[in-house]
Amino acid sequence: MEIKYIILGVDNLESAIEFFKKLGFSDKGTISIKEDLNGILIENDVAMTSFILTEDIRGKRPMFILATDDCLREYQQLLSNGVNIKDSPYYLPIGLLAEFDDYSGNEFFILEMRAYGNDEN
Amino acid sequence: MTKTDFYYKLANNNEIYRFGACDKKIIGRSENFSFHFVLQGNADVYLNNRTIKLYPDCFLILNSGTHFTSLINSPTEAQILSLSFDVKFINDFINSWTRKNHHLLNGNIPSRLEPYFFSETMHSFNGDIKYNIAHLGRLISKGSRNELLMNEYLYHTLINYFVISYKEIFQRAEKLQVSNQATRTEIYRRLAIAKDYLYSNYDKDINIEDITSEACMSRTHLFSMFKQVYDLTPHQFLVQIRLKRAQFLLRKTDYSVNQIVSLVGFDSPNSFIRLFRTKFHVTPLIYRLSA
Repeated sequence: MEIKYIILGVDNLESAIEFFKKLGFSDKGTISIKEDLNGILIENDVAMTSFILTEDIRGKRPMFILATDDCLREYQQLLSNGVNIKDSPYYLPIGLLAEFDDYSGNEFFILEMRAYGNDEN
Repeated sequence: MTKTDFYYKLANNNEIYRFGACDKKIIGRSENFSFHFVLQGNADVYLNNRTIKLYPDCFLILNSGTHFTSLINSPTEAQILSLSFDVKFINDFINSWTRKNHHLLNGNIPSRLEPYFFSETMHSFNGDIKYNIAHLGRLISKGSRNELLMNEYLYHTLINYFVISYKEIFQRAEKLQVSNQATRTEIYRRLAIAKDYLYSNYDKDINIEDITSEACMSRTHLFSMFKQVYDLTPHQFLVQIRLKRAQFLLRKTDYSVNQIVSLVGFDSPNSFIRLFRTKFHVTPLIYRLSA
């Protein structure tokens, strides 16, 4: 699994976006990860990893979103391996997510991105 | 059994059955609530005195106790996936998931297994349910017997179905300007039969009498109610089905545009090209090249 997004807590969203623009990133709009976790997606054309800037985890550790091609399979595998699941798979406009932590205070999501607009049979 | 055939009964009595066939007839009775997907090709299902033609863009729900005949007669192999859910499993699901996720159903929580939720109609096969069924298909293609994962896919198929049924049934039925709930349910059921008829006969020369007779509704009533629920007249709805099927054939086959025009039921290539361009903002040939 590769890191798709890093969720960064920021004190002020506007100044954080300005800072990332200086690094060559651009504002791709709002993104919702959970009801109480929303942010701004910041991407760079060449970087593999993007950031989600949010004031919702201000002062806390960054969170990581790992990409998978099958969230339910990954979730089952994590369960079988004894990983502590915080949130079983749930649906968002971007796809299917599940949340777990590493017992050390770091929080992770697995995300299966789904292209709902491109449904073709 | 062909190499794609697969049958598995889980410990909770849910069942997964996938088979491939060119020529097959099944006469049976749905023992449980079952979902039927045509992953490839097409199949005719006869139930309750009507014929439903299933293609890969739709799936069908059968209630427990429904008698049906399924007929496959196809030059290329049709692949069917059926999922059967034990009644106890579904009732447990209703009690647990729907109550925790009532916001997704806007508070419309069924108190028990109601035919309203399991309306024997065709539903669009896209979005999350299509992703989850594709994952299940890949799992069983590997010959896996990972029951925990199968259960996960089945559980999520039910979640997806409940959200779909809320959108397709509750939200649409609520558009009907009819105050009595029982009447609204019955009208919606009849409109769903009309919609299934259009999906199943889109390639034929359909006249309005065929639809009104199938749905047991007067012409005026059908027109007015259909438009309220689906935002389109039956004819406009039919044109949308034909265009979607034509889009599929352009992408997946080498049929000429003229052949596709006739396969999907359009009268002339000119009107087809005009309608296709209006809907998809591209001509059929350019669409095929870019697909």
